[in-house]
Amino acid sequence: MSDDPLHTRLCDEYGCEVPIVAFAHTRDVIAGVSNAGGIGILGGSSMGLEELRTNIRWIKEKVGEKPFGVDLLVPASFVEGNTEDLDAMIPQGHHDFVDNLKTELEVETPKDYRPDDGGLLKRSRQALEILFEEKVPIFASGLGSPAFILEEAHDAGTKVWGLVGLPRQARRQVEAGVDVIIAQGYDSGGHSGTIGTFTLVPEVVELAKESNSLVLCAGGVSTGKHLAAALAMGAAGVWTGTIWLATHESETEMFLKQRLVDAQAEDAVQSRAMSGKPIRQLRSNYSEAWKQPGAPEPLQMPLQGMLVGELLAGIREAKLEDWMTTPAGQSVQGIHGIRPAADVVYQMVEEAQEQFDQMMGAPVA
Amino acid sequence: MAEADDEPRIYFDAEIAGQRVEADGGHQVPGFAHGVRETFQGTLTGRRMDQGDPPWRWLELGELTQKPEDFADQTVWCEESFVFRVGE
Repeated sequence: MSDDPLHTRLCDEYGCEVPIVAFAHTRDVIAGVSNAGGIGILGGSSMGLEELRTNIRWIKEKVGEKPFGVDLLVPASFVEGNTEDLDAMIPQGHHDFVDNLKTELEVETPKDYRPDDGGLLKRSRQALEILFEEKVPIFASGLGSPAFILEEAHDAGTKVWGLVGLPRQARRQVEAGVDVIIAQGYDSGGHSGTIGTFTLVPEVVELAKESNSLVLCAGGVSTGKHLAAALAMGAAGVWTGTIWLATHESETEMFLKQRLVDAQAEDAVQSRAMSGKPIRQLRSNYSEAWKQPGAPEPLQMPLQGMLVGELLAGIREAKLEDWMTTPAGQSVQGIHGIRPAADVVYQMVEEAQEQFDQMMGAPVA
Repeated sequence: MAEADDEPRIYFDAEIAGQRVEADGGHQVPGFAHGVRETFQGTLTGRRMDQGDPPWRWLELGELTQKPEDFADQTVWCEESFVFRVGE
């Protein structure tokens, strides 16, 4: 066993140099982090199947034998619905509100805009098959339980990670033999659970104690101090997301990167205005417009997404800076500049090391 | 994996029908790169769905006494791993 507190079981079992895992949608970030000693995990759920395969092959070429993975949002529940029937459920007042915004912002429907066509389970399976065919070292399930695919993944040489927001979800995944449990607290960006990181992580660590499953700490992690705290709670490493949005390699627009740098924790707001479901995101004119007097309440999902899909696509295409946003967690507070991904890794490690040195050398109170 | 294996198989399981359960659901938001978590409490209808090989197992919940505020449907399919007996 190493004396270095930053050399954890994650390093031993996955061949990374430092216990930092980066979730990002840009393949360049993944390669940058894996080549800097961490583990990059590509968010692949919004990619077409061939795009996913192309990106995996590109990353493999860039990182060689270094570890990396792909995250897919496999579902945990669903309902059967009919899109045409749903369209009739959108009140005219909501159409008017959105049409007024389109007129005011002078946005048009982009030529390549097309609504999602569903096929949830089948598409998830097809994406998983690509991961196994391409021998991706890690499959991370960002939502539903990956237990159903565990054996097939292991046979293909792929480790299986599962993201949880509640201890009971962690217990089921530990029982199933999932390799890594990502315990994600409330402070995270996008879809978060309801329990804070400092409460959730130690409990999940305790649940995983008697098993071979490792635990990663997620939600609100962006600095070396967070990394040191996560390891002190018994996690084998950290799962991070927001901080990579502001790296050089990220495809996030430059003005959004700057807004991430300027943002405080309270600028990562939960809003239902994008999809009808609360998503933690960077505050924008769009999220604020739905809070103004006279604005309608956002509709339920999937109606809200159907209502505003064209508008959001138009805003993106027209690059209306103040109206655009990105999912972001409260860890946005820890972003202080736009830097290469490798620098972020190195700085986090240096800060964590300093923190451990300080803790070990500090006089007893 | 054969294409035919992707078709879901729905069948009735009398042993589970009527059990009160909670379920941690969620899915990707259509048209977006992010997901959403949803919690349900209800009664197992007894209908099961197996999809693919190895089977991805789903249970149908009805008589929903807890569901997201904006959830309009009467039933929901939940993945078996995250279905818990009430109080578990």
